[in-house]
Amino acid sequence: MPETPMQPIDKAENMVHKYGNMLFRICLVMLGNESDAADAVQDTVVKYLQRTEPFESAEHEKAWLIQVSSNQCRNMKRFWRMHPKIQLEDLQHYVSDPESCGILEALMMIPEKFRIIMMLYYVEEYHMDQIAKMIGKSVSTVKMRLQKGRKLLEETYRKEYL
Amino acid sequence: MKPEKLKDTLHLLQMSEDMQTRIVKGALEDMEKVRLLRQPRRKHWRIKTAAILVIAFVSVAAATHHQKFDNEIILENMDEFKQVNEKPDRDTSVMIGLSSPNSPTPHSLEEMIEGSRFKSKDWESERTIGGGSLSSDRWSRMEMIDAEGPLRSRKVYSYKGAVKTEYTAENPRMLQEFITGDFQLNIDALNTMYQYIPDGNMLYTIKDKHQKYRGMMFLTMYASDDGHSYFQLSSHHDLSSFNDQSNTYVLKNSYDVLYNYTNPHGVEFVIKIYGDCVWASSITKNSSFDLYGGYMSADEVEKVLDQVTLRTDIP
Repeated sequence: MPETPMQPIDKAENMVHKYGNMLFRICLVMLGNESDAADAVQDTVVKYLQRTEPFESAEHEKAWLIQVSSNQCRNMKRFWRMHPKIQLEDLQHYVSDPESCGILEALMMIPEKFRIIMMLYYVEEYHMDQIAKMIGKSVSTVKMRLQKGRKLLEETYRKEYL
Repeated sequence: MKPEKLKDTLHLLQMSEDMQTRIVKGALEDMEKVRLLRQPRRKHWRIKTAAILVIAFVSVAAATHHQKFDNEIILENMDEFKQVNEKPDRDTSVMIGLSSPNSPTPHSLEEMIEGSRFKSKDWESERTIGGGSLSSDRWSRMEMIDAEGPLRSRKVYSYKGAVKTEYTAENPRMLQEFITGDFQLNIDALNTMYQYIPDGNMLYTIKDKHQKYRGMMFLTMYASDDGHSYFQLSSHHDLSSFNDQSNTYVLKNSYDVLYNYTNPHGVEFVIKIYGDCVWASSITKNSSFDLYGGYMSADEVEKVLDQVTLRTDIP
């Protein structure tokens, strides 16, 4: 007997439950603004619901969602340049200890091209070749940006908060 | 700093259950709006569909674009995008992007005004001093210059010594003299065509710690006399980074209306309409000019864009 297709609401809820926080983190780091990040995640959900082609695997689904949400963030950035960078009191909604707060602030101060690679490598634990394919850069570029991003983050954190 | 600490810290960024519920609800509402819009056209469309519906160009950046402009490139379909992506001589260090619309429903005019940080009542609040280029720096304090007159101004200073001079005025005409960058705007003409929104106009210029000019942002908002349609214009000039949308593509069928438009002054735009939302943009190396609007026809968008000119001394 063929499977009953999932209702859109169930599909959306499952997706948000499984991947929502990951996508929110990525969008928040890219956009630096909570409400824009939520909008970007919502738009990603819409694209997910509109997709008719099945995914090859769970990993394929996850990588697709990351690419779509990153593209959404890039589309939004040009029109919403006036949103303020995330302020310290906004970060305190999410973290309470000063060290974590300092790390997040320092992360927001380094250029976005380093942030996204560090997110994908350290937090989502993708390999460099996977990240390279995802963002359309060479492996050597990813490696270089990872090293430079980590160095910048440590320098910024030390300079501003220690 | 140990990577584990970065990972643990970022894992703390989680949506509340409320936010998750709102996102699911909002996504389903957007899906329903898209479904309704895909039904046969009704008379509420303000576009002259016979003349304008889906005019698209297969274009290659060097062949059809003036050297000054770095706008998005319109492609017929995904097959063409794959051909571009798989070109053997393509520079693989450059990322190719594909842009697409978000929601077909515009923000309301009230939401647009609310979203503008430079409202009269927040002008004296330090909470509104964020935003602007030189993103590796942080704005830390404010000096009020004029909080009362028709042209309000203030200076915002960063930790590293950069200075942002901000202006707001009820009439955008008062901000015209501070507009820099590649694009100029005939605000006098716009003021006769539309009603300016008193709370929707602002401009800032940035100088770095050496007091060298680095950039400018100008925003203005207008509405039709009956308040039904509106648009926001933004002009941005940034010497600290380069624009390049020539590796950003947009597919013909991802918008309801999508075409290249050159105004009488030679300024090239990409015009997009999706549902009741309209966008238009023109991009040069260090400047961009954007329109975002709601409930406008393509003709109306073109009439607004006809008020944009280029500085004549651009190299």
